[in-house]
Amino acid sequence: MNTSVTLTSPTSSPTSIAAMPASRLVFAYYVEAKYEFLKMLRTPAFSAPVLALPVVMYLMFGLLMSGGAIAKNPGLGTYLFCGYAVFGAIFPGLLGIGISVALERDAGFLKLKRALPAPPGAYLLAKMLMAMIFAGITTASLVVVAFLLGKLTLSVPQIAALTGTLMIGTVPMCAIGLFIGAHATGSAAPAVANLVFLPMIWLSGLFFPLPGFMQKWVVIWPAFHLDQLAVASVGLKDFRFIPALICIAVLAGVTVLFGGLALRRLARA
Amino acid sequence: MNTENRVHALDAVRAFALLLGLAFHAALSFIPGMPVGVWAIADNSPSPALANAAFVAHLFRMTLFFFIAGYFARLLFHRRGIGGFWSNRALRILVPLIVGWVILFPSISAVWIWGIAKTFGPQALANPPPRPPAPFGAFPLTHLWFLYYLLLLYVALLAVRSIVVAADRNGHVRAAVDKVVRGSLNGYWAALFLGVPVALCLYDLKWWSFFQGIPTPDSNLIPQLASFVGYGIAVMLGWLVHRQPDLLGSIQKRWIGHLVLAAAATAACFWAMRGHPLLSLVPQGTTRITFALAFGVASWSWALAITGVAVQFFAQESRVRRYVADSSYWLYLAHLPIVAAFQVWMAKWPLHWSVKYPLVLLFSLAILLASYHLLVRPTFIGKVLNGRKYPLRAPRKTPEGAIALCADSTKMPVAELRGVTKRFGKVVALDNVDLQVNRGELLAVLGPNGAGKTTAIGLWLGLLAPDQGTVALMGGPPSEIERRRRVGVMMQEVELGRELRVRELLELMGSYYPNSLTPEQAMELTRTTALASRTYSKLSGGQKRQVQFALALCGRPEVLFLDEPTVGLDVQSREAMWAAIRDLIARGCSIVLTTHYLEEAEALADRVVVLARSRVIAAGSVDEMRSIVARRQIVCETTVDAEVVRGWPGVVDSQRDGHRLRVTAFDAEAVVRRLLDADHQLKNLEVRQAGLAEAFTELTKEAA
Repeated sequence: MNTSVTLTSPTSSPTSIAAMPASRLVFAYYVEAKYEFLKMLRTPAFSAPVLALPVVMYLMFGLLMSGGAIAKNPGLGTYLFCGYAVFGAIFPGLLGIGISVALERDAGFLKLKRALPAPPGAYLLAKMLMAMIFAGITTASLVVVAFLLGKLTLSVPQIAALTGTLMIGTVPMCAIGLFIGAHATGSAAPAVANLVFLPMIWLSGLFFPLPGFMQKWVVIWPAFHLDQLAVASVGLKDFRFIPALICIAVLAGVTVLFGGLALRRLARA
Repeated sequence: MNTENRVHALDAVRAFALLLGLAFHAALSFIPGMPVGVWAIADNSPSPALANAAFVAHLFRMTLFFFIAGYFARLLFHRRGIGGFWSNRALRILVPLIVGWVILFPSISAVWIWGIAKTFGPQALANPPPRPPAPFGAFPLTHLWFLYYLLLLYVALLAVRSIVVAADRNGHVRAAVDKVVRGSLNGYWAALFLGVPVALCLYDLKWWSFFQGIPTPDSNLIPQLASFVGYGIAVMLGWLVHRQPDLLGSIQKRWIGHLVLAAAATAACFWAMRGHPLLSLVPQGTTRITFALAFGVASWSWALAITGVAVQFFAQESRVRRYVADSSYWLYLAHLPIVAAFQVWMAKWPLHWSVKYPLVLLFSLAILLASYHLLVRPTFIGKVLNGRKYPLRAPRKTPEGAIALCADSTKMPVAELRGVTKRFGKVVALDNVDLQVNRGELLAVLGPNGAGKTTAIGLWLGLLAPDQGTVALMGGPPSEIERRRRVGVMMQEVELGRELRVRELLELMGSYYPNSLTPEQAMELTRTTALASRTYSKLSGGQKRQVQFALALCGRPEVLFLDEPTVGLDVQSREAMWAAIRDLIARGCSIVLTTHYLEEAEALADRVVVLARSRVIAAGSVDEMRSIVARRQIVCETTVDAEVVRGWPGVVDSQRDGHRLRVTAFDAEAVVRRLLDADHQLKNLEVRQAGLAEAFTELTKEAA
């Protein structure tokens, strides 16, 4: 055994306070985020669908099946593109965080984190960054696919605005995911998260026109508000149904409400 | 939560209110229709959104501030007495008011003149418009009015207090008031109760605009009724809440409700305001009534919501928050001319407000924080404003009293349970347990499953709170992150990141500590280097234990908690872990180890504590334990005298019980031989393990 390694802190005295230099603290947040991302990337049950589904669905429904309609109304192509990008932005936050937090809670991982001097909030921040990065990757891959097929209707600043909007837009979805993860058990979480995710995606009118009576109800889904923001961010004039400020307010409300309730639950557990 | 923590939370609230004021003033030049003169400048990129945000911030920020000020006023009054109170307030409030005004008023005027010249051209200054005659008592207090009103309200508050104390000798009135305050804060009535008088004062104002809210009394020395009542109520409530500090808990519990109420009342304000510009006067009629009421309720529900949030989430002491809280007073005092100067400077820039507003904030905060750090914090100004000064390059901060403790430090226990009881529902996990871990020792906690070993560790790590008694880690509460940075832990049944590799896990865990081992060093010490690039979930049970051990020591802990570390290890790995543990002890690390195995305790421990059925049933050195275990009890029917037997070698005790003799002895075989020699008629001989040994039998049964 190597004896040159000192094991205890050299300056330790019972009353000294273990000070954490700021650079070290930043490093801790970084490492946490890095490994959170790696962890999710190495979970194929998560990373495969989150990376592939939006692209596959965009190819099938957004390009192949809607070709005729898009030819009549070029704006529709952009609208559908935004819709699938929104889909890709919701997935990691809602399903990824929802399921992983529930599983990690079951496994005692959160308990261990609390016993350790993990910097406050690093766990949640890392999850959020993970969702943001995945959202950025999905948007980027949609852009690449559309570009390769010659269907890209967006300019570089529009792509930047859309990506930025969606990355920030993952935050309310993370809050919902966290709420699910904080309340459901590990085995129930996938079912619960999908029960929220699937109706929300289909009933907020992202991909196809809804029957009239359902159109009124799209406003109850956060996905609709995020989609409206995405559409606004690329400057599309059609397909805008409510002012962007209201969407921001709704999403902020969703974040505070679900995030707050989730934190409360996690703090108690 | 103790009062100290609550004070940290309220400190944070006060800082928040002050910094919000800074953000509010930085927004004023972007408000559509803001007349130059009322504010220093109007920006060429006005923003209705920012105006609405500023309106919301202004709704409650001063109410919140005065509420906290009232709380701290009573705290100070009862700590220092009336003389101490006034001399403290004179230094902290009166001196900044006077000195601040002398410096700030000319600088603010200069910025205003610059702004007017920039808007209307220099000739506007040569021919100023005629001014209406100043009313009696007119005085440009500027934003320092809040200090002036604080002093006025202190006088009023202490006057009311002395009247109450004189008139209410048996305390009935105070008890009744306390009851009302408690009742209204144990629900959502407080925001309504307090909002209504505020609304009445506002409703009655002659000149009242939507944006203004409670009028800012910055231009007259005579107390203005609406402001005095509005903020007087806030100071009064703060004072009354400090009379029953547990009420902060009630506010804390209802933070979500208050937030919802605040959002609803704010929405009602906007609804009442619909169709009117933000800066216009409030019309008479229902609009005025609705707006006044919504305003009053909104301001109070915001104030209570934010206080609740702070107590809920920001009660821990944090160095960053401490710094911000200390700096906020200076930041607020000095910000106005600086913020306004940046606004004037940038007013004509062809940029969108969403770029300019953050820039104004960024530039101002940079200057303010630099001035605070260099000119205020280390000097007498910091001492006047915050009661202490910090040297610029501080040696590592040690808490008060550290010097006295250091001499005795080796004797201070690193972890302690004092009279701790912990229940889970009806099950008592620990029953009035005292446990101490001294510096540099290995304490083995032995006991069967369910004896409370893991509970004890959970308490020390701050995962559980005791129902009774005190838990100390490094001489303080384990919930503080600074203490946990000196602790390593190996728990049972925890999954770390299953998908990560061993090396990665060690890097992640090490990043939590200020001065951790590198992953390579940690693996070398625990002989796990071969596992470095293996995925954690693919390891065997024993390998996982070894990795967990490496994770526990990678932060160079002073105290290490090992909860059954060797379960599932083969003999070789166990020996290796024991060697590493001995090595840690030799380097001065203190270790708490729980185990089923007496053998493990014997191999490692300085001291052993036996827990069974939630209590400490024995404690002592390993040798003492061994001797206890070796004792036997001999029972037989004999005529031999108990006194005689007591004198035999190896006999600890001997008692007669009717025909029967009970003997406790180490060397039972020799004693039995001698008894049989002494009495050939001896009958019904029984030899069994004594007291504690039975407990150990139970242990070994459990372990087997």
